[in-house]
Amino acid sequence: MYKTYLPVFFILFALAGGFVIAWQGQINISLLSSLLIFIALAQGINIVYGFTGYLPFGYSGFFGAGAYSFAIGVMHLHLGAIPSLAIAACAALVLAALLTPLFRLTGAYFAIGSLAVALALLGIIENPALTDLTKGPYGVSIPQVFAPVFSYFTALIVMLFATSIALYLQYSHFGRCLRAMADDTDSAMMIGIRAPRLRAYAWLLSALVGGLAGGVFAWSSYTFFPETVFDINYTMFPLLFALAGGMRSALGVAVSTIVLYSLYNALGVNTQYASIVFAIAIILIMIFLPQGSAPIVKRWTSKAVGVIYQTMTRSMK
Amino acid sequence: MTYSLVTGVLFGLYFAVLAMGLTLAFGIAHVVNLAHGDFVVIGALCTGLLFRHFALNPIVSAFILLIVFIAWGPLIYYLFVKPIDANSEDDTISLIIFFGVSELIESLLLLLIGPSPQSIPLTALGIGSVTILDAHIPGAWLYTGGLSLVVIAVSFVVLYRTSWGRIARAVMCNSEEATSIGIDSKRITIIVLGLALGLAAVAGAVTPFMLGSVTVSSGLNLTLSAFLVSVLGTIGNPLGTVLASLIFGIALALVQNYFSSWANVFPYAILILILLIRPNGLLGRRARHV
Repeated sequence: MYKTYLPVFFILFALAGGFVIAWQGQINISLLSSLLIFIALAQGINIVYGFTGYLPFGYSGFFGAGAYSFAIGVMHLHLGAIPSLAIAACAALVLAALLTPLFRLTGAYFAIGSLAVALALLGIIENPALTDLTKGPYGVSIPQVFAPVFSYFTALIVMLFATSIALYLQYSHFGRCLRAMADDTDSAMMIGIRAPRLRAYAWLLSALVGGLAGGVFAWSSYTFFPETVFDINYTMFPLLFALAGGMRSALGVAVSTIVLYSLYNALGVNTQYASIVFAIAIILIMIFLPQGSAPIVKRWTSKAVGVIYQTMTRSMK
Repeated sequence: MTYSLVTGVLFGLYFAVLAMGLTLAFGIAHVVNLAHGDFVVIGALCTGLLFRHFALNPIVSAFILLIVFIAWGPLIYYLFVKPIDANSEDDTISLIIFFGVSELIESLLLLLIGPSPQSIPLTALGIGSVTILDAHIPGAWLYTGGLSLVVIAVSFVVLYRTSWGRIARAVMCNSEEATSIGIDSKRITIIVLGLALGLAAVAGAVTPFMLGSVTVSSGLNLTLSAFLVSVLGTIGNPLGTVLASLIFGIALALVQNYFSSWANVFPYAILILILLIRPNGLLGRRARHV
């Protein structure tokens, strides 16, 4: 099934690329880049929370770690953008590997543990004692690699990568194993699924996405502060988008991110009101739509397709 | 050194009050109240308001807030806890909902008050400094320590010396069995949520004195400190919470004295280490899950 979806995504990729080239200068590329970054992050959360059931409340930790490793690669190692992005990916992977023991915890403990990790990273990076390495709380500026169109395309590739992973999990044996584990770990292990190992793979993939997204963010925004990239909103917003779209549905997550993030930017005159609306939205979604909107949309579309099919066959007769 | 020890104990008592509500709500009502710290912030802001407009002693307003906040219990229960009782085996749903509540409170407070730190002058509680074991501490801290001790003692008496406390502990051990012997666990949940909010408000009344000031966004840090102490002392175990608070208070005071630039990271590092090494806390016995 994901084999039929993938070509569709690559056509969309080509369209998005052509769109930006054709309208360069007339559209806000940085806004589009951040939309792509948010789709990638929402898919990253979908990979962990949707498929393993573990809530990564400190997902912004990977984002921030990616952004800062990218900046360190550019500032101290004097690398180009792509090698620095590789460093960002490696940093996120190493961080995730170090954190795999967190999976011994369940539910709320895991969520709060990972949140503590993100906050600890923020505390370390903005520590004045490390100003030589991270510029401490004063923020990072890396204009030497700034390239809006190139970084937009990289964001597009990162987004496609994240969406492909989510699609793969949705339709592959690996993904089915993960879902079985999320529903009942003991039974899944009884039929021979290596739960801890597969869970760690999903975690690493999700961290990879988070780190790459952070690196691309650092690249496209070229100046940022520790509080910007470790902002809990980089967990909360993708989580809200993913929940609204429906966990375990790559397409639903992508579409809901596009819709909600565009709405957010359209409404975003006053971010204070926007955050009130978003907080209420997250509560309402969890209470009334814990499965997200994807199942409802799916039901409606299948109903609509059925009605169309019936009327067509009737008119044929 | 003695200064660190004395302030550590005082901070420990404060953390005990801060965490008591969280550990009760988590242990008895099975609610992961991620908005706990924000209720503490509301308590602190109300205390500041009462002091500025009516010159009300913060200790008096702590008791007023305790009663007012207990009345919020049913509201929280019917709005955010009851709707998800049906599929409550997954506590991450309640976690996300209360995270939304926390964000809501923070953004509403930001709209009403703004981002600037709010504080109450230390002289609101007591003038001058007191010397304990050659450590000079502000006189106000004696009152906050005393209030914390009283609150902790009352919670212990309620939990361990009243029939209501016995019922609450029964619900904590096993809510299904408690229901089967005729305990109204819904009522207990509502009362416990109310008590947790009340304790948060009392902690809030004390917070401006202990931490210097409160900002709208300090809720999350307070929640995490409370969670850290609750986990260290085993969730749902009040005695463990008090013990863990004292340990954490002294450790934090020592770190602040000797490695002050790392004091921000210290609580998180400790929380991660505890979760990885001993997720059941100091006094816990239950095995952890796969």
